[in-house]
Amino acid sequence: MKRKLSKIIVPMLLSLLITSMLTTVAFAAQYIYYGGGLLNPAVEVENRLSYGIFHDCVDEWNSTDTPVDITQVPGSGHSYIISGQWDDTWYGMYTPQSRQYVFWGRAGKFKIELNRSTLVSESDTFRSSVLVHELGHAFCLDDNPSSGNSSIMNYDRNRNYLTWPTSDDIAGVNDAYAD
Amino acid sequence: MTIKHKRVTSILGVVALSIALTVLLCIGLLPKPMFHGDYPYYPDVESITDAADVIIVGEVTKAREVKNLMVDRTPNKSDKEATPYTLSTIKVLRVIKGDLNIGDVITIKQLGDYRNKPEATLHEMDGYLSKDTEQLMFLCEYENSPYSPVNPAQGIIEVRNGVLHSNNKYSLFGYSTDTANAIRTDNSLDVAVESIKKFTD
Repeated sequence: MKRKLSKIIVPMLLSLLITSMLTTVAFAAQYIYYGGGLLNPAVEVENRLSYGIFHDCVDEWNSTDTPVDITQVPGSGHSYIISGQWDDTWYGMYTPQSRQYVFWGRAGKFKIELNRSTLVSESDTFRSSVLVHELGHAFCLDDNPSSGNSSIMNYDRNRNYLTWPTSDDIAGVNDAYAD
Repeated sequence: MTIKHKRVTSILGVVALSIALTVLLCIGLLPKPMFHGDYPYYPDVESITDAADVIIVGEVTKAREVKNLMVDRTPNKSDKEATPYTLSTIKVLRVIKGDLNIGDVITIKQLGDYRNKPEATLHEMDGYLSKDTEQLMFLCEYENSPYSPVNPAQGIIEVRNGVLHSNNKYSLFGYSTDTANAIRTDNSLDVAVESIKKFTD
């Protein structure tokens, strides 16, 4: 009886141990993976902003040592970045579209909205920090990495200073798009 | 079957079970479709008090009604889209700031459909309001739509028996990693209200 029990319990405990090791490895990174980012980091984007910050923000990402390649395109039907006025408190909003498995998975394209109602009295530096943050979601970065490192994805970053992806953000993007 | 074969089979079984458990765990953690908002952050009581049009303690009398609201006020825009929100009805119990009275009934909107398309922070901190709870709320007022919390992480804090509780590390009130210290004097609603009132005049 004891042998039979040990034959059941020991493999179960071993399984739990291996499972916990596997998941710890998967989630030990400082940056946080976000599954609603783009499937392909080479993306065509329409600029529908009323602010003149698009090119600087795109350059901040395109100049990183990552597979990110944002190209501005005219027309409609692509990913797009737009400004407008909404009755809510957010500065910026990322919404994944055309998802891989209908309701979840990576996005085929995205919509990023900047809220002029909350950004009206802010500087272009501040607005750029918001847009570069939202683009971080497009490249699979989640909010508030727990590392304590400086990150464009932190809510409490200084938006009047930090307008570029940090080394931790770059590592997160490279990890998300590693083969 | 030899003993060696039995051992190999057992090892393979353990590995297969581990992989199955890992896959199940990862499927459980798969993200739902979400809105990812970048919201204002308030480093202290003064800044959050200044940002709120209204600060109240209220009782949630009705919760989790999902509606698509037209909150897009962009002038001259032809293709405006409605946005899903989760609505709650609040009975005002105490007014700390703003033009409301005790007994007033107001509606709060929280971004996202809490079931199918939640806002990321609210989803992570289980922040959508529940019926029959009491909350300390820092709210922004709008002419043509319901009130919004100043942000999802800091704008709403639950009150249980006069003590504040928050699941979010950015909350200025009621967050504690130490459960034993959760009921501390500085987490009491009365102490919080006094600290807020210093900045309301």
